[in-house]
Amino acid sequence: MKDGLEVHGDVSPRHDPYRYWVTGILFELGVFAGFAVVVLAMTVVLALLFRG
Amino acid sequence: MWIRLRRDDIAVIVHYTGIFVAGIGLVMLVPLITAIVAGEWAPATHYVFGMGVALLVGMSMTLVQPGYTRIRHQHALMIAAFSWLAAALVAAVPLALSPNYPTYLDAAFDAVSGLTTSGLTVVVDLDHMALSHNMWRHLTHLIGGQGIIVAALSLAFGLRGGAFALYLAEGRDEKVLPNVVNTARFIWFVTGVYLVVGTGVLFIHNLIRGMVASRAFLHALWIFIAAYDTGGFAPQSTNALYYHSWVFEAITIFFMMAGTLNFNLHAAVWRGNRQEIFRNIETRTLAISIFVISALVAIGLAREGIFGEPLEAVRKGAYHVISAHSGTGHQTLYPSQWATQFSEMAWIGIVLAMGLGGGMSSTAGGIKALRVGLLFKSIARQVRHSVSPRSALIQTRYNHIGRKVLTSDTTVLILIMFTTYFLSYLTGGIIGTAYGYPLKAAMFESVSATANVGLSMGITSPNMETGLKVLYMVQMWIGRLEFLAVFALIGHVINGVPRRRKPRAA
Repeated sequence: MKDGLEVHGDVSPRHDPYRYWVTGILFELGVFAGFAVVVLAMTVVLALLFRG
Repeated sequence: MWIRLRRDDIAVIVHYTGIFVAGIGLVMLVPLITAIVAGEWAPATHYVFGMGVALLVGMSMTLVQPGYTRIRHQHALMIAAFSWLAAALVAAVPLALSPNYPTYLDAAFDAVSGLTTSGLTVVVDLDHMALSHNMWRHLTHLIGGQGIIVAALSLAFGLRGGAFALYLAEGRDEKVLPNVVNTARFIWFVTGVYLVVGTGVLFIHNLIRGMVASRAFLHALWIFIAAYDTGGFAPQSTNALYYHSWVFEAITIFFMMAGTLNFNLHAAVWRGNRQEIFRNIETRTLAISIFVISALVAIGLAREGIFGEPLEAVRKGAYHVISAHSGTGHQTLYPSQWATQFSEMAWIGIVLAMGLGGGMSSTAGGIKALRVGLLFKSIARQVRHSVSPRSALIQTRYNHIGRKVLTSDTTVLILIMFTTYFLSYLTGGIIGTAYGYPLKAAMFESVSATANVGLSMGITSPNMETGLKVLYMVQMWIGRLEFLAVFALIGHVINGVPRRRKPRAA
């Protein structure tokens, strides 16, 4: 049905977003850390290359 | 063609807007308790009065009983537009009673800015503000970031039919779970988990930096809310610069990034689908955009050599790119430094980051990474189409919580949103210059308001002209609701005005 309030189907374990929340948040924070390190490394190199 | 609203339609809109207004009154219990615990008796009376006004207005509106309770798409857009406006006007009541806001308009400005998670502020003497008022300012970020409607949905708060239409009208794109009420609760769950982690880490940081425990906790809570809900308010007038700590900046970068991520993406990752974060067009676009703009800003700052050490330039540059792109608006600069210490190239980078914005179905504003990514896909498809034989069938796919096909309808919608945002950015900039401000500052402030960012070059201040205060309030409001709901409201208002008919010729 279109309207969410009228849908009362169970959520299968495969689709349960609460299932892996601990590893999920750790994974997300790890990805952010990795990305931040890459961006910082790139900007440090550029800042040194283009130092005024 | 506009359908003229009947008495029953107006009753539906008034009834449900009243529910949201009353809800704002109930949330005022938090600053009221804060005031009582801190022994701030005058602010406590402000919140008792504010709750009284909100509950009285809200409950009176709910007395208007519609003939039917089902909310149609048309109602949902109007309810969303009205609720956000009414909620801000009511949320401003206790702030207007505080000595930190000379006029009700100033309090309403900060309430709109708080609820839309913008972060622009016209507060006076923030450094001596009562704890309860600071609690309320930051709570408006939390309520608005989650979405007033999502907040009400998660409690299934008097809503009977048409909840999904309301959910969409608030500028969200899809449900995480089959049931929209469960989707709203999941959004709160993600926020709750991050809130415990973020407040805890910032609390430890503040303790190590020498704050007393109670102050360390409140600063940690408020800064977390402002960073994760991509708001930008801070308890001190110098914003994030107050902390003078690279560790603090590194911690808040994590929560700004988490806040700008689509809630559907959080759900996918928390379901165990880790690859989605790398495959999703939205995260790829965000990553590429942050990478390119950071490079632009780093080169711009390094060439000028204003910050002395290259590492200082990197630190200032990267922090503000993430703050601008996520729509947060935390800044470690004095507003005047944007004009004097940021080169043209670095300035352009920050304005671009603000304008492009964060993820769909997140607390961020701006054009949104998904639309930017799909626009580039559409350009690539058009190029392929032009070099292929006429009979060739070209299909472009992208990954956004599953494989999807890019349709021409989607491309048209994206172009409409791009144009609307661009026109709003430009209009605000032109009006700012009409008030006598330099184009650079006027454009910066206009983009910051529409994209709900909150970085400021100094125009936004208690002494700002009344017309500009109203303009930025409107820009923050329409930007948060992604134009459609507000345009629908304006259309119905214009359509509702009785027109004089031309007399027929005899």
